[in-house]
Amino acid sequence: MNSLMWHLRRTSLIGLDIDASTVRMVQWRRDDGGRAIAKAGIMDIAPAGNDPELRRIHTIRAIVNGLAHCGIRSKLAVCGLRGPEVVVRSFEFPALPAEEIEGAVQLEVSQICPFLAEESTLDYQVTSSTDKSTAGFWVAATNSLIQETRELVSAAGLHCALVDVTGLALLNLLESHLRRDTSKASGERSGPAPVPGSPSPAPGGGARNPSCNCPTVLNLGDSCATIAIADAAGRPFVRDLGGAILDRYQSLAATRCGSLGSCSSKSDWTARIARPSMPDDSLVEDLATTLRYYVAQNGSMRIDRLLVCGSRATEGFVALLRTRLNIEVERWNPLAQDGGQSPIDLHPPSPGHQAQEEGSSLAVAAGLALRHA
Amino acid sequence: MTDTKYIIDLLKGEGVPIRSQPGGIAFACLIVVVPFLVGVGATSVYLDGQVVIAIQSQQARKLATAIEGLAGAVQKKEALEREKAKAFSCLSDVKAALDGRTQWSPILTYLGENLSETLVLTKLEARRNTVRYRVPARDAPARNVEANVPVWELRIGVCGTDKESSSEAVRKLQDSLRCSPTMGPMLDTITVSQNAMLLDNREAVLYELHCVCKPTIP
Repeated sequence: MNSLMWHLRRTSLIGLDIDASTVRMVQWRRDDGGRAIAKAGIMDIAPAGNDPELRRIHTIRAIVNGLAHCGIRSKLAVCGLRGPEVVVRSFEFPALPAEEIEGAVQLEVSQICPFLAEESTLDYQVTSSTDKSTAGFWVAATNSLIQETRELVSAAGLHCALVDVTGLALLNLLESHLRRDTSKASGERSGPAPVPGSPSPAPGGGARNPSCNCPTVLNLGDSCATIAIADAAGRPFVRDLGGAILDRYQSLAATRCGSLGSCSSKSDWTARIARPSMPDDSLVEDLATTLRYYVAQNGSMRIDRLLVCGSRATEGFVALLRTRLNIEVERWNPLAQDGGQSPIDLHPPSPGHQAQEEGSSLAVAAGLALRHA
Repeated sequence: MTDTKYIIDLLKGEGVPIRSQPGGIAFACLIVVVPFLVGVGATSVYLDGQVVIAIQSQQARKLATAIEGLAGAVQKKEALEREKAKAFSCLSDVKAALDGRTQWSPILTYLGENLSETLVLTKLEARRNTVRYRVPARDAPARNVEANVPVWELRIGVCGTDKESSSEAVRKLQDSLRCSPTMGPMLDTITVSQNAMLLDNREAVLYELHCVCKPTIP
């Protein structure tokens, strides 16, 4: 893995977030002692109705056009998986030697993973190892989803270098921001970093207060919402919620563009993604249940603050969450915090929205692109 | 730039391109470029050989056509060569048979045509003698050795009734023999002797011309 990271550190990867109706891409560049956005873009996928092949073609076209508009020449991409065909679970074993961990993980996966071993791919990571316990998490995804993603990327002229999970990409981005802000704050004054999220030290940063505040981020994508939490040991908790959102948006698109999915004009399709406020009660309820479940399972943890990003993270929806969850909820634009001057290409342009505001929807792609860092 | 905390890769590293390092490039050169260059070189040599073969085949076809055209002449030449060899073998036999002999007919013809009417041929004798003569050695032509070589002598006897006219006719015969294209080149010396005698109760003068030919050096 070290050699893998060694190589990727020298290669500028594209973070590619292929969502239901939009393709988002981000590429970082090295900056003075840090990083900055080099290229970022959002490209809508033309509607395809219920034709999966047409949808595939439109998705490929959107990737190709997005790369061309953004002027991205790199050919290596990192993709993120989300949805019901991806499972992320944590594990904790008694202290095990390194050569026995994989077998223990496979045994646990065989007992609780909903996918057949021969039809899925498993990867795991140890986040902490002490004399008493070995803790970490595993990720499983169906081979069909992985292969479909690789073929999409390959058909667009890119090479899929890594396949990650969107929730982990969000946590990587949040972790990166926390670490940077902590280092900045320590250089200026002692005390916790002000933003974003928790004032607690970065996850995985060593000994913690047992009742620490967990960094929590919610991404509202086209197809589903992703909640990602990192506990004190650095183990991630990732859940994809509200699969019905996709149906809601697809039905809205079909209403505006016709049942066959053909748009009368580009402006009509642009109107489809005009970021309407979606006070989806079922989604909020699912989110509240999930957070309660997580806190109940991890009694020493508390969640005081939720960062919301994604294409549907409107102020109205954030206010709804703030009211219903009874915690601090903030709209998170990681790219704005990154300096706010980075060029972001929108195709087609979104009237009434500043390009920098779209940074909120680029969180997943930015987190994926961090894999080269 | 910092490392990410979560490094899950569901491709298990399959998608990561091969690292390009000097060692790797050199290894790639060894296993790809060198055989490729060798292949290109071998192909070049092969194609060059093909071209040379094509040219030489064309030349061979031309030569074969020319040989077919000259086949009749070659056969004729071979036949002539065989006849020549046969003739040479005959000539060697003839030479062996004629060794030591001289053709006298032209000389006799010349003598008959140039003999004056005032003279009567009374004697004609040819004899072959041998003399010691220094000739070049066969194994070393620059060195002379003593050897027996054949020498022909011709004795011609004539007589005339009138002394003055006969002496004049003998002198002319002697000159004509020296100038003869058949006899002159082979003559070495001519000596003349005379003797008076009675012929049919009449006085007559008998002349004898002793012609010695040059030795025949083998």
